[in-house]
Amino acid sequence: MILSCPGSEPVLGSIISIVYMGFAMGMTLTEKIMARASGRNELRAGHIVYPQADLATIHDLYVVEADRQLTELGVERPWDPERVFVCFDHDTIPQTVAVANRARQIREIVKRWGVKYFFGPGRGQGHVFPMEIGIVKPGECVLAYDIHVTNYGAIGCLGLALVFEFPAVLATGSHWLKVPETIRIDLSGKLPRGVGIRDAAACIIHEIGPDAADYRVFEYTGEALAHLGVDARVKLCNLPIEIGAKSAIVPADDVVAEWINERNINSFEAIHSDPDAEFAETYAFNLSKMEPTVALPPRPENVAPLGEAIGVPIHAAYLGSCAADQYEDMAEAAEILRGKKLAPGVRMIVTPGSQEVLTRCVEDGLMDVFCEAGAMVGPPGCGPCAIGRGGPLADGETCIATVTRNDVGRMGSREARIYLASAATVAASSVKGEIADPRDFLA
Amino acid sequence: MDWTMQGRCWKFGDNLSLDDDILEFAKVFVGGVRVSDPNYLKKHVFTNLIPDFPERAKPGDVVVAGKRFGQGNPHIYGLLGMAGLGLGLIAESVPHFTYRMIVAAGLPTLPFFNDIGAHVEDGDELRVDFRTGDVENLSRGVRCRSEPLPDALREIIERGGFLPALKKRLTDINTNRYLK
Repeated sequence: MILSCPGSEPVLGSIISIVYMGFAMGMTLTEKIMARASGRNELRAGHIVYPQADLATIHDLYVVEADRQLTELGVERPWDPERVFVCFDHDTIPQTVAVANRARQIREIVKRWGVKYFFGPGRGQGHVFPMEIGIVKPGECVLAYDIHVTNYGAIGCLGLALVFEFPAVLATGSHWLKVPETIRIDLSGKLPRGVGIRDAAACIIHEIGPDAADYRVFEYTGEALAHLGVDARVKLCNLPIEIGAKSAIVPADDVVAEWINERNINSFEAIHSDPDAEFAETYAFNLSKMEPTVALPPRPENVAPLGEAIGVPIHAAYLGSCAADQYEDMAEAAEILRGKKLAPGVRMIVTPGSQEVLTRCVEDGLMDVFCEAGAMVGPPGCGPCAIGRGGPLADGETCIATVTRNDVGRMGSREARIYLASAATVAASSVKGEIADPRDFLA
Repeated sequence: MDWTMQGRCWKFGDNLSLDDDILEFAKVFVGGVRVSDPNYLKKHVFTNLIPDFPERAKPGDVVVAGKRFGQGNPHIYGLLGMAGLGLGLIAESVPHFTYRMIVAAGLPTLPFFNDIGAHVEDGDELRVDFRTGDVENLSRGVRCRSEPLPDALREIIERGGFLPALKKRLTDINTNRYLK
C-alpha cells in the first residue's frame, strides 16, 4: 500500500563523505552550532554535551506543569528570563472556565518569571512568528519544550526539544544532549503545479523511514533550495520530527538573507557544514518527479500516493497548524478555493500562523476567498491540531487536514479518522466533499 | 533500589503509541492542566487495549513490547503511569526520544532486546535483572540476556527519574543564587 516515492534516488553509501585518514574531519552544521553553544571548538556526533540555549521556548499547555516542577526543585525563576519565550498558541480561546483559570494562572507565573518574550493568545503559532520578527536567528541553538521547534531550521537555526525534561533548561539554561548524526538530503528540480512542498516533505520522511531517521538531523542542500522560500523550508523542517528525527535544518543562504532583509530584523553570519563533514547517510530527491501524497490514518509515516484515498468522503477540512499556516500555504489553498464553495455537509477551519500572515491574507484578498467559500477563520495559533481545540471531530467523522499528526484522537474523537495532505489537496477535497486531487482544479 | 523484578509478562505487539495505546493523552488533563503524578496516571495505563489492566497489573510485572514501543509524540505520561504501577519494561526497540523519556520516568528497562518476543509469551512468569540484562522465563525454563542500560542512565532511574536527578545536579553545580 505504501508509496514508492517517484522522486527518490537513494544514494546510500555512495556519497558518504570521504574520510581523510589521519586528518581531523570537518563538522556538520549541527555539530558547529552545538559546539558553539557548548563552548567548544570541536564536537562530533555521539558526544554528550550541555549546550546553553540561546533561547528557551515553552507554550501555554506546559507552563503550569513546568512551574510546579521548578517549585519542587526550589527554583523560583528561569536561569535567564531574557532568554525565555512563552507563547499562548494552543488554547487561544479557552473553551471552559477551567482552561480560562489556567490561562490566568499562566499569566501570573509568567509575570513572576519576568520573561522577556511573552506573547498572549492570537499573536500566532510559536514555531512560526518568532522567525518573522527576529526572535530566533540563523546559527542559534534553541532548546524547547515542544518538538515542532524544528521549524526554526527553515532559517538555519537549530531547534532541539526536551519535552518533559524542559524544566532543566528553565533552571539551568541547558540539559544533557547527545550530539545527533546528520542525514544530508540533496534536493533538485522544481515541484510540478498542484504538488505542494508538503507532498515532497511527506515523500522524504516516508522514503527515509523511522529507523533511519531516529535521533538524526535532516540537513537539506541542493540547487532546488534556490526556489524554496522560508515558508516552504518550514514544511521540510516540520515533518521529520514525526518519524523520530531529532531536528531538521536548512543552512541559511541568500534566500534567508533576503527574507531577513525584507523584514529588517537581523544580521547573521552564514554557517554551513564543512565539505569533509561526516554524514550518516545521504539521499537525493528530484522535486520535479514528486506527486501529491496523503498520510493514511493513524500515523504520519503512512504516506501513500493521493490516488489511494481519492473519493473518501469527508466531513471536515482543516488548513493550519505549524505544519501549514504560513502565507504560501494560505495562497496554495486559496488558488483552489477561489470562486468556489465548500461541498454541502463539509465544514472548514483555517488558522493563519501569525498576525503577519493573517494581515497579509486580508490585504491580498485571500480572506475573501476563504469567507466566500464558506470556511471559518480561527485565531492565529495551533488550531484544532492540538487535540481538536476549537473544533474537535465527532465519532465516525473523517477529516482531511494539514496538521502535524493523525494519531487516534489527535483532533478530538478516537472514532474519527484523519488524512494528512497538502494545503492544495485539503482545499480541493473541501470543495468536492471527498478526498480530491488538486491538479483537477488547476486547468 | 532492587534492580531485580519478578512477575507476570504482559506481551504486546509492535508500534504501541504513547498517546493512545499506552495512555490516552486526553486523560492526562484534569481541569485543563496536565497531571504528571504517577499515582493518578497509573489508573489509565493500557486501558484502551486492556480495560482492567491497572487493576490486574502488579508491581514486579514486566511489559514486553515489540518494535518501536512508544512511537508518536514523545509525551512521558504513560511511562510515568507504568512506573507508578511498579512495572518493568522490555522492548525489541524504542524510538530514541522515548528511550530518553523512559529514563526520565524512572522506569527500569531493557529497551533494545531484539528477539525477546521469541523467548516469552503473555502470562509467563519472568525474573528480570535490569542491572545485568538477564531475563529468566520461569514458566518455560528459558534464559536470555540483553545489553543493560549504561550506568549514567541507570543512575537517573535509581534516583527516581528526571526531577530527583536534576535536583541533585542543581545542588552539584552550585546554582544557589537561583534557589530560594
